Amino acid sequence: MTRNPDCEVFQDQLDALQAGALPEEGKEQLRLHAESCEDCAMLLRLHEYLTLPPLDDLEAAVPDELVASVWPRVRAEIATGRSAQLRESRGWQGWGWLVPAMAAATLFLLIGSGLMYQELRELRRRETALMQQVAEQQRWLAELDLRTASDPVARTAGLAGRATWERALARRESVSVGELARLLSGLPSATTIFDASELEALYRRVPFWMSAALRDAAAEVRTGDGLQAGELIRLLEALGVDSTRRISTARLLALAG
Amino acid sequence: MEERELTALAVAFQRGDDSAFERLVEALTRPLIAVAYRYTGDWEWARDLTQETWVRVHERIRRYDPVRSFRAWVYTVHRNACLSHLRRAWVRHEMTASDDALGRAIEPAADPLAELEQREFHRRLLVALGELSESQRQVFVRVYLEGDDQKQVAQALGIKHTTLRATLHFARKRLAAALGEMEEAL
Repeated sequence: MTRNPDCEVFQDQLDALQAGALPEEGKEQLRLHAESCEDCAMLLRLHEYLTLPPLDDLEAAVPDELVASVWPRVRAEIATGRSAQLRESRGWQGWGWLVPAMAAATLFLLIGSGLMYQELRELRRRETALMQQVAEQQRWLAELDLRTASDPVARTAGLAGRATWERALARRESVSVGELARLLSGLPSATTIFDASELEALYRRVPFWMSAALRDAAAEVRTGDGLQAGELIRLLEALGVDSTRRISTARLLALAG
Repeated sequence: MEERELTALAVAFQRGDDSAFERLVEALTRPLIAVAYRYTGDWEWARDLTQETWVRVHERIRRYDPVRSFRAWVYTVHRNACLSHLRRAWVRHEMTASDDALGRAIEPAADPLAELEQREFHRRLLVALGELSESQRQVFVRVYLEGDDQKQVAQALGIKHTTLRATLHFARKRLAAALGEMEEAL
């Protein structure tokens, strides 16, 4: 586009024309310049095209049937939109129970899982207690096995104490020193085997050459007046008696009174 | 219809009075079609865009602030609808309407050649509008297509009147240049 000063004046006049403030004289100048300038002629043509006819005239030219057709179309489109919204909301209404049902199911699951967890913890606690009891029993049985081995006399004595031990001895003619030691080890170590008088009787009944040694050895292991199971075991060990040496049970029982 | 009456009807419609909405449509449809015609040069398109505007107004009536002019609010909605239509057309590069639509768009002229030339000029103008910047287009359409007063447009856009005149000046030059290039290309 040219930078002719007249073109700048033309632009100002065009603005004034647009604003409705251009006198007739100015309009004539505008047209004269447009005839000599191709670019400004295009601008004027554009202006005239855009402003002519004036909007009021254009409004009057709008066909009546076109205006009349707008409201029914708008109403129909709004109704279509509403019915679509209604269908959509109805569609969801049909599933309206779903939300509370899901909430209830979730709550049920939460409570149920909580109760199950508590129950599980209780079961585990009981299981642990039972396992401890079983372990205790097994340990006790193992201890019994260890103490009694396969000897029915020792097993019986271990379970029942001195009176049963004496009855077990009574059923046998003899018992070895080793069996006697195992039998004694099956008893609680504090079980009194010989009280003070029985011990004195024992000292008197053994040969005189053994009596002093026996007294000394017994004195080493004794903690009270009599002789307990544990002390008797240590006594046998201290005397170094051969474990295969057999002792008459009648004599032994007689020694014990 | 007076501005006060339009506002009262809009408030009634906001409160659920559908008959008020119908009266608003009756009152403003004709000027809206005229404005849309300026954008499209086609009565059918103008009618469709006006219909679209009223549906938007119906959907968004709760957003209208009764302190403002209802007419101005509707024209803003209408302008956005028209510009959306033009943008879609610019994207598609399909500014030519059907022959039937064009036949209705331009009033039959005594000279068929002049009528044909006018149709083609309108088509090129709409294409050329796509060449403008957003601010230029905004000013241009309000002043030329909607026939708003320049000072009022400047006030509404929050710019000085001189700035608006300058923007308009460059918009016209750009359009004229684009139209000139189109003619040379033929």
